[in-house]
Amino acid sequence: MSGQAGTLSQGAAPLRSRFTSHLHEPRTAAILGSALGLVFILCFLTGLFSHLAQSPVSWLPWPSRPAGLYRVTQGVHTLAGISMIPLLLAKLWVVYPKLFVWPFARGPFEVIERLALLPLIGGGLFLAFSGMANTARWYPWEFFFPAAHYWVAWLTIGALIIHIGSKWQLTREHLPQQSTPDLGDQRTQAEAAATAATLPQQRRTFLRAVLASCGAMFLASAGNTIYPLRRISVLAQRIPGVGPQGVPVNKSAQQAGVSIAALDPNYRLILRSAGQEVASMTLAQLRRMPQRSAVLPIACVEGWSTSASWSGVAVRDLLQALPPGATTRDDLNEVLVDSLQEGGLYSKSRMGRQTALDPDTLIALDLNGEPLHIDHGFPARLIAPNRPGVLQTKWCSSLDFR
Amino acid sequence: MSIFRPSKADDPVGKPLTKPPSSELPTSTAAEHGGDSRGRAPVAGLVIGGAIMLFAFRGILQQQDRTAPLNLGFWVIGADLVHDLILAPFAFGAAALVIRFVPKPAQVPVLWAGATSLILILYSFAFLRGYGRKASVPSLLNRNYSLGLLSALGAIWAIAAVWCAVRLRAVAERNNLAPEPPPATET
Repeated sequence: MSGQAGTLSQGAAPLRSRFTSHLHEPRTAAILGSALGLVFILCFLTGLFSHLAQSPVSWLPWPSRPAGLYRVTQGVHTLAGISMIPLLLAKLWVVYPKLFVWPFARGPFEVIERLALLPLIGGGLFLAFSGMANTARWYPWEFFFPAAHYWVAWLTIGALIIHIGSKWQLTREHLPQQSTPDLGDQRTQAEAAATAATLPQQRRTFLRAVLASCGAMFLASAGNTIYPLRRISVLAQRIPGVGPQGVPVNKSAQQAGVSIAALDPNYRLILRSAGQEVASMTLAQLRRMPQRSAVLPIACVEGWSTSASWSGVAVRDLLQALPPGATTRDDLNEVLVDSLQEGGLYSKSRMGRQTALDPDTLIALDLNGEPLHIDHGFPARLIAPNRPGVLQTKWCSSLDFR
Repeated sequence: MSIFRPSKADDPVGKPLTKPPSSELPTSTAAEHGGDSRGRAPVAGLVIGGAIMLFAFRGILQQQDRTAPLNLGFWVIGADLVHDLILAPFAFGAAALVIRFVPKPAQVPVLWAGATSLILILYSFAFLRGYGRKASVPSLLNRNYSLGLLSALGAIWAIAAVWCAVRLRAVAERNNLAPEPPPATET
């Protein structure tokens, strides 16, 4: 991730004079590159975690604890991604003169290394831009955001590993010690000495300025999920605590097309065992079952999150209420949750055994001491610990214990 | 504000320069272009990174109903081109103007404030346009983003102004401490 400007004098002399800052040098690039690499890896790992939460794999049972883990990882993912934008642009600024180095490469190996910069830079910028657009709920493209963001993240990480390999030696040379700047355009030894003497100060000021810009981005958006910052995060997508019953809404009943069905007095929650209907319960019957309360976060993939007090029937109590011959606790593998919403990617969700049997996994009927607002999933919705918001299915119509 | 104060001459992260810089000194050029001298890292990076990239390309193509590969390629390559051909030249041009017209002690704060402002403006574009607003979801995008952006820009330029003042004062103090030139004498 570093040292790209160190070879500027080779083959780039005519353009060298156009980039007068001495910060286009290996040590600055090494420091920024190392920091950027760490943030990329952090975003990649937390993004992978989010992907696995939404698309679980059979060989990795999804944990239901800690309850707020997804809230933390997704908050870190979005905030790190937004905050790194100045870091990314600063790194690109430092190495920009390298774009004009000629010859393009000195062998097939270097051709591959330089070509890998295209997915690395394009991918990095795309991830930052598309993530930011997703936060603003703006989708000016033809692809499905989560899938494209996920696969471009893999592409970028692959290109990043190629880049790290190609710059590993250079970074090791320049990161831990004072490197000598490329001063090929200095006319005299005295000029060169003067520049070298001021370079550490310039670099330090530059790096602090980049850090301050990253901090500004963080403060502008962190209030989405860090409650005390809600007033100063002027560009956050939400104001936590604002919404029906003090909780924000992502999709309304009107948008989901369930406004009539959700208010139907004949509503019944259907309980299935391996696909076969074995019982159904009215809202009154659900309320007569043992009620359980839990304070659980609702955490959206877009980065906002908030905690609330939910009350309702534990899913494991519904499992125990199934008639004889139906799925039991011992042979339960998963639960499919269906919504009154017809169609839509998130009108159904799946939860593994561990989540289904967690005592705090509820078919919630109340939110913050009141019956659910229709936009929060009235008459009944799923709320479970350590789970993305899109999988907390609203307007539940059935549970299928398998 | 201490992070903005020009102070020590030595870089606390690295060691002070002990040898005179020279254009003859290598800047790892040999290491970068010599192939063998870089050890196994480039080959390992190429093998592992290349395999991951192939995995990514396969995923993009396998899920093309969701990834729309051509459109995705347009956006990824487009992001690169927009940066290299528009954003970077604009930034370099704007910086050149600042260096040409702004007094030296104020250049760094102005460059910082300008760059941060540009990033914030670009970031807030979709919020300001309100593309994602839905009438039935009033809790979504529920801030006054115009006012928010103006506040953020105001805070950034206020910090830059203080930073400028600190730097100008430091320069003035240095000038005051400098020995006065000897008075002119008749010869």
